[in-house]
Amino acid sequence: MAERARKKRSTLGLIARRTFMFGGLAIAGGAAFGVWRYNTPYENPLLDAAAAEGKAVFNPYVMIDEAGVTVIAPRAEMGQGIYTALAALVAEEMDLALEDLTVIHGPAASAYFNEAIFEDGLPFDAADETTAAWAARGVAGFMAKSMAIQVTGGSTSVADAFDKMREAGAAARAGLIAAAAQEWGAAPESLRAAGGFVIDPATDRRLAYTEIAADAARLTPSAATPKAKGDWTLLGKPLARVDMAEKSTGAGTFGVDVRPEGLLFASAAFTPAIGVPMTGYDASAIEGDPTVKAIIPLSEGVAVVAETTWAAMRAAEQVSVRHDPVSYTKDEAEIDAALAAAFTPDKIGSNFRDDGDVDAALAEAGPRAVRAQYRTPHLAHACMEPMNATARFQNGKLEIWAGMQAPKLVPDIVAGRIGADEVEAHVTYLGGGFGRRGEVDYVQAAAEAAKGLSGALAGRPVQLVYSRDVDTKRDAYRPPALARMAAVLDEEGLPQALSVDIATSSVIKSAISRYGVAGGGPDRILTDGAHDQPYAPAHFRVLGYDAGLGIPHGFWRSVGYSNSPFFLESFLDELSVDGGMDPVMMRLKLLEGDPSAQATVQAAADLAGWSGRTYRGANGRKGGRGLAYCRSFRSHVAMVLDVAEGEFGLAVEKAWIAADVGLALDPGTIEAQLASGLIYGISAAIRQEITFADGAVEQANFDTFEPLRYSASPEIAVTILESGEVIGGVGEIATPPAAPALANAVYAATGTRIRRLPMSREVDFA
Amino acid sequence: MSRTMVLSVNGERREVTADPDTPLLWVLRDVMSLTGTKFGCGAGLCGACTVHVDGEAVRSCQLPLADVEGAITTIEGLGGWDGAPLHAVQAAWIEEQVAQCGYCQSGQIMAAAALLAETPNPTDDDIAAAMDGIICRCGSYPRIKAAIKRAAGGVQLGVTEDRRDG
Repeated sequence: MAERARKKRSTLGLIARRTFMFGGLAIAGGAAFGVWRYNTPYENPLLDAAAAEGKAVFNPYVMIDEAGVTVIAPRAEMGQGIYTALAALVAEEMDLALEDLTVIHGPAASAYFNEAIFEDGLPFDAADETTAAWAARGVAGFMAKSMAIQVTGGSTSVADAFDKMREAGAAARAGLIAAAAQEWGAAPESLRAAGGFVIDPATDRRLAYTEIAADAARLTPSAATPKAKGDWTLLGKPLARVDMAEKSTGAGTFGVDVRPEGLLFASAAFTPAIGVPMTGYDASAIEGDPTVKAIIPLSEGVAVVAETTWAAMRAAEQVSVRHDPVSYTKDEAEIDAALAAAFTPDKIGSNFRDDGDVDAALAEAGPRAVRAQYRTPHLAHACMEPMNATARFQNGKLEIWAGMQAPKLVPDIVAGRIGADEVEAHVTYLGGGFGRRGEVDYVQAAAEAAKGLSGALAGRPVQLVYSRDVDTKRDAYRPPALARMAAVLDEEGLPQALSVDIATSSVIKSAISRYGVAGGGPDRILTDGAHDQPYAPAHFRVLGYDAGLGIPHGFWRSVGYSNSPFFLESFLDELSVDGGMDPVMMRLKLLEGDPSAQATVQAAADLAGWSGRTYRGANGRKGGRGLAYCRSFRSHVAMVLDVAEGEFGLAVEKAWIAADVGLALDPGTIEAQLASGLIYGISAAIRQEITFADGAVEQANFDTFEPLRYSASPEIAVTILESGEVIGGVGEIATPPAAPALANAVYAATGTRIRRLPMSREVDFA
Repeated sequence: MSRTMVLSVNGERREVTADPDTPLLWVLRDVMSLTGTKFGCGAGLCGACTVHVDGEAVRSCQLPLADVEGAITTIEGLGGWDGAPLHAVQAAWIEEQVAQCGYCQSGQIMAAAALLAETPNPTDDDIAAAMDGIICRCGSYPRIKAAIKRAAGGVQLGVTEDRRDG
């Protein structure tokens, strides 16, 4: 271990220059990077509390008491089924059925650091196995542990947990068998475990896990070797989700549902964007209102406490908040201008692909070069559960209840900002996350409101809920992007040169500023979904430019992959039309170096029965089909969408999705997540757009930022491929190809080439 | 100003004291702590707050307390609580593994239950008309469709007998 850690450390200098994300967060956490830290195991956060309650604690993931086995799934359950997947990793090793366990999120703790998300954050290709990439990944793991960031994001949860939680389960099982062996004076290897018992096959005697838990916990090794894949009984088949009954009966507790004793209800009025300080306010309209219990100034707004959340929202609407002029691009004309002006060498933030000589190839082709410009808009997350948090501040201690994707980092930051000595966080179900619930703002607002309570209200918990309007207008948005594409086709019609220039705004730089860290440097997110694609034309260059729009930009399902694939996959479709080559054939040829990518494209084409762009819709309506492919989060996805013209506009009738996820642990959830990612993607592509006027967001509710509804949702067919032992991401991967597949289908159906999203600017959808 | 009113909620008489302008949603959630009914938009656009009033699907965020007439059923009264069996729609939801984040599902289930009580064998168009008002950001729509079709048989067998008059 020491040697491994040293090896990682020696490469630190090598990448420090290239990755500012880790350096930035390191400052945020104030963490020392010493090897000692990496080698020191984190304290098991269950030991104090759980042990005090008489639970036998096996390791940070497993505890047993008289009531049964509890598994800690330390990632945010926001719909992706992560409680189920993580619990299954442990249940498989402990020979338990999922219904025999209780699954909880558990405490926010350093022990639950996410190493995989750091590895994916590096400016290297996910599949890059060069020494430099390997070394950098090692450093990332070292830093993740050193900084102990417990994060749910980047489609990394299962990849991160795959070894850790299986080993934890295997260790617990070994401890249980050792305890039974001791009790009976039998040889451990003669015993087996099943259904919550250790069984001695020779005598058929048995001991329940719950009976021997205390001894077993003491005898549990720190790790044990998990089962071979061939011995799995749970994993690899569709799992029944552990949260399904609660979520079908209204029993599941979301952030907005917590009801601690003495709870107060609040909402707030805010400055026009996260990060804009309040300089003054006028609450005279609600002063003296008997339904208003308290008016509390916050750093970026005013909280109002009232009898109900509704009364608080209504009162907050009557408060006006003053602020200095905003420093970000304040309307669409400024945003357009800033993006167009960003294509200069000093703004390059991503230059991770430069094969061959693109400039020479374009110069030689002269007017034969094909060029196109594309544009995407700002997007809000629009989680179904508006942002909210519940906080109590008492005797210097801050207690938080909320749905959070970063339940250690965010409460720690908030505690620092309000001057709390101690912080305790409780993580609920998330009514949608999509990246939004890794932000600080909503937790901070509740904490500031709790701290601001005075008199008889002091020390009581307060639940601060954003109205839908506030939720839409106070987001960390998916940044817009402007892309300039150029290509040269060979005689066959295949691109031999491809130039991609993308001007957008750095999400990382914006996000870490909200964590209180200034940073600069490269950001691969600017071109994720372009520079890292396995296409291999002879000349291929991708450059990302950071326009620095200054608007709060955040992680939006699939992040950079929500922008670049629209440009690349739409442009390839244009090229396939220009060059007269079938789009499936073009992809297969450009992907010759990557058999898994080729197999995924072929599988989608086979599933769809692809024979070209022609499609006849329901009742023989005129239609078309479009193809797109994207590799993201260590997985490959290809999809075909079928669009037809109807009485009230275009309809997406069918979707055919093929995904290679490496190893499919829960095919049922994977299928659901592929459908989910697709619908989230076409929802945005068809109609969603956030626009700014005079420094404020113009959209407010679901009438102006409208998600896809039931009847507009296509029929979806899915094929899951497993190319190997890599654990690919699942929760985000179907979003990237959704917009371009739809745009390409719209072109096939109507002849209109969509180069700017949302599509409803140019074509009507039913 | 607050007023005391008597409501029938999930088969029980409940006395509540609240501002009569308060939408039913917030009376349920913040006064009665029946948090299964969800707040999504406050404008009747998303359907997360759907409950039954006399068996009919109603957006509770748009119904002031003063205007409530009839027996209210929330997701907690539909089934699965306090030993009550699951409603056929809830059972179908679990069977088809519909929920993802789950936040909108109370509204989806209440809308589907009202549809099936009225139209035991709905056509695809009937289902679309009933379900288009309830937004799901996770995109669980394909499984919602499958679950409604699965539940349709159960409803015909009378599993959804309304218990609101208790």
